[in-house]
Amino acid sequence: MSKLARTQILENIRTSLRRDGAVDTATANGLKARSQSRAPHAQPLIEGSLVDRFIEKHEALSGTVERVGSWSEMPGAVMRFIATHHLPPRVVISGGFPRAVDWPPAIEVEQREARGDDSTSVTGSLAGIAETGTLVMASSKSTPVTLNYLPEFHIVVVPEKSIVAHLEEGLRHPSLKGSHPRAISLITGASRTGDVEQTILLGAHGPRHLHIILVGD
Amino acid sequence: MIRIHYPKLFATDSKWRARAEAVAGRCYELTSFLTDVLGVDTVSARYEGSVTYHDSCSGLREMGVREQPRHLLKSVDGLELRELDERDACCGFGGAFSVKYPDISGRLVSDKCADIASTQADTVLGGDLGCLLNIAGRLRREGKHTRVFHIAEVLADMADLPGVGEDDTS
Amino acid sequence: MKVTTQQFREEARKALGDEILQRALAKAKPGFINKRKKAVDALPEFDALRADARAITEHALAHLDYYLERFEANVVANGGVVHWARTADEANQIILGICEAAGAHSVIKGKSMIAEEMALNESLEGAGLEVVETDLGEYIIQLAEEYPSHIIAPAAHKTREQITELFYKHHRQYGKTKRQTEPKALVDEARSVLRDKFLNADVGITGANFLVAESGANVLVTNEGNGDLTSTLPRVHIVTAAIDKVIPDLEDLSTLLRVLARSATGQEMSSYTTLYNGSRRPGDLDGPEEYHVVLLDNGRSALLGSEFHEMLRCIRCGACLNHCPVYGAIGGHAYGWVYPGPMGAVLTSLMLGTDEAPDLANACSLNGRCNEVCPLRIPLPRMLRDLRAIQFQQGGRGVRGKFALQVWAFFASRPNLYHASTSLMVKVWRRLAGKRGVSTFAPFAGGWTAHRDLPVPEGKTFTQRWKRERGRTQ
Repeated sequence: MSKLARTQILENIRTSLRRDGAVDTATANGLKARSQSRAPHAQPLIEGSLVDRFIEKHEALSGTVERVGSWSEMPGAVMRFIATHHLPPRVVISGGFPRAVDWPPAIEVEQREARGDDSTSVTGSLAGIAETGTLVMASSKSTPVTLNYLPEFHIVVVPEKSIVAHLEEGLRHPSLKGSHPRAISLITGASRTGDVEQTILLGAHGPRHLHIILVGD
Repeated sequence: MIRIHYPKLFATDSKWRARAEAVAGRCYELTSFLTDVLGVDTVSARYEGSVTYHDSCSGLREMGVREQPRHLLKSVDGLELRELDERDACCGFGGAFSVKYPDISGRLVSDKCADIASTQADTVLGGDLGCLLNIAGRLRREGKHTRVFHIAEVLADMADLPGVGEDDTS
Repeated sequence: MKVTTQQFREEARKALGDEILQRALAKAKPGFINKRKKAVDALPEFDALRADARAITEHALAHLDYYLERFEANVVANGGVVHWARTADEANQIILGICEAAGAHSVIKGKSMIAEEMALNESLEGAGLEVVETDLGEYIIQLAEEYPSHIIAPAAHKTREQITELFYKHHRQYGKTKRQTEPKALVDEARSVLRDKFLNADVGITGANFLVAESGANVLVTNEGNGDLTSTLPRVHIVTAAIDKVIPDLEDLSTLLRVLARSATGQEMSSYTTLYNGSRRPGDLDGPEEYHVVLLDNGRSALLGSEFHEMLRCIRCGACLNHCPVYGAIGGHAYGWVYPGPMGAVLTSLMLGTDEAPDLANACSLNGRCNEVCPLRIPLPRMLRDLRAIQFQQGGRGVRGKFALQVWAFFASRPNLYHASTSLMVKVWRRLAGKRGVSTFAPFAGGWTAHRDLPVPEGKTFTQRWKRERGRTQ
């Protein structure tokens, strides 16, 4: 039935557009060229330090940031976050960090997808987008998406040099070329809702708190 | 209506289109004509009082009239202009809308009158008579004495006559 | 749920007198308006973006068949299934079929206007499935058994007290027995109750803000993250989308995202904007096993190339509602169906017909704010006028004043007669009124005098005075 519906719908579209059939070859080539062009449309002007802008945007949305010089300092930053928020010393993490990470024994670390009662996750990211303070993540064997959406506290490690200016650069990140992840996530701030009398409240379903560890090297 | 809509209404009428376009091309909102076409900067008129200005929707959105009336009112002696809180809000006239959907229209005009009252201005001016009839009618129903004039009456120094909806006390 | 488009006048009247609703509307409106203004003022490129957005959607519609086929090919290449439905009924049948084949008992839903259009929940519940909305606003109105009253904030008409009572009544079965009154506590309780539903549902159904032809992705824009959980946790993920949602590529998506969030809530980006692309990949630790996209036509292909073509470019941001004085006075339910406000007035009139919804195109003052704020510059006032013209020609219900217009036309096309009769009318009226400035009653215009007095003319027509004044000064 769906096949008949498909034919009819496409036919109706073509009739309404006053075309006899599918687009002709010349048009199709033009459309292909348009798709292949990566030229962006109008973009907001972004000046100054991308990292500064990224931090400013993130913090304006109640996000928190800690800057560390190197990857080896990352676990320490995680410990500090856990201590500050009085969280259980247990995190669930993604794999695929660009460097090997030495977790201290004081913290229990599991690499898996998230479950309903996980408190805190630590994940990497593909890039940060300075335009809006947005994180770009892609799903894969080592980066299950539930780590981004289920836990109450989400810690994301972002290398400073991965911060790009605009949305387009995030969506067209080089590491996405040739791969077809199930999910490309653009995350900006924590989960929020205004559905109760327009009061903005955090932690509607996704994480209540988004913390970024910005790594210098 | 004439300037923007007549050409559209007569677009497919071979007999009247040219005439409609010609008339439309010669039609202007008054303050726009004075300011944009004639380049008038000052008028010699006097109006002692505090005034708020109601921008009609068609003026604002169809004809780009916003600064022109204010520009002209600046030169009226003794006139103090106080802006409404919601300058862009529709007064609820909308032509036949006001009689076809009176409850909704009534709510919109009473909101507009509340805004006018909050400026504590003694006069409200505007450039669109439909709006002014609507606003004056509501003000009188509410027992308010805010005076209502078309801006032309003030600019032409003829505001000594009764305003819209005002009793003739002569 | 009942369609009440025929009862618009009654519903509008009730809404105007509903103190609770009026309080909720008064609270919601300035927030949306001010936030949007702030975001727009902060972006000098906003108008350029709007122009680009308009061009993108025009281009997409002009080649809709091409982009739909490309989209479909890419979904299939990623292991998904694309279904096509001409009508809401067909779409419901397809979805029921998928649920049945999967042996599903429970369904969770992200917010989807098209699913409301299809009355999908009723169809699923009719087949014995448990359906739970996960967007907090949609969840609230699901409990209240109401239509959404706003396309971005479905429960904008509900006060905190009303939500307290709904939760108290419906959450006792989950062991929540305390009456929560603080917004934070309400949200936390909803989070806890819905979390359970997320983790145990068999099927997740989401809408789509956009469909990207280039990659076969459906784009989900939320602030809560509920859409992402709905797309990831259950074994079956179904996306419901209208055929006009497809756009060519990621550069186009970037532009549309920039205008969408700002126009809807004044944000630069929503908290969660995700591109989903099929079922779980080999080795993935989470994600659905099955991925289906149901494309629904429901009359849209017929609107293409018509005078209402531009309605298909709507990205459901809600800016028109937020700035419409009529919506601001009566709220969303008076519109009687799924889509409220200016875009609803047009879309409902088109989809249900002006006979079914005779008031929607007419209950508008044509003030034009909707078109002014629309990120895609959809000419809503022009389309409402066109709908009125259609109604007038068809002579159906809701055509009031046709005779009066004909009388007026008779006089107006005879200038001498017109001048004579109007000058007589104002003279007589002034005589009858004496020195009074207003009349409190007006024959044939009872609607006017229900809420206002009617200013009395001065006694002479403008043309008469002009002749007299000119004679004097010359």
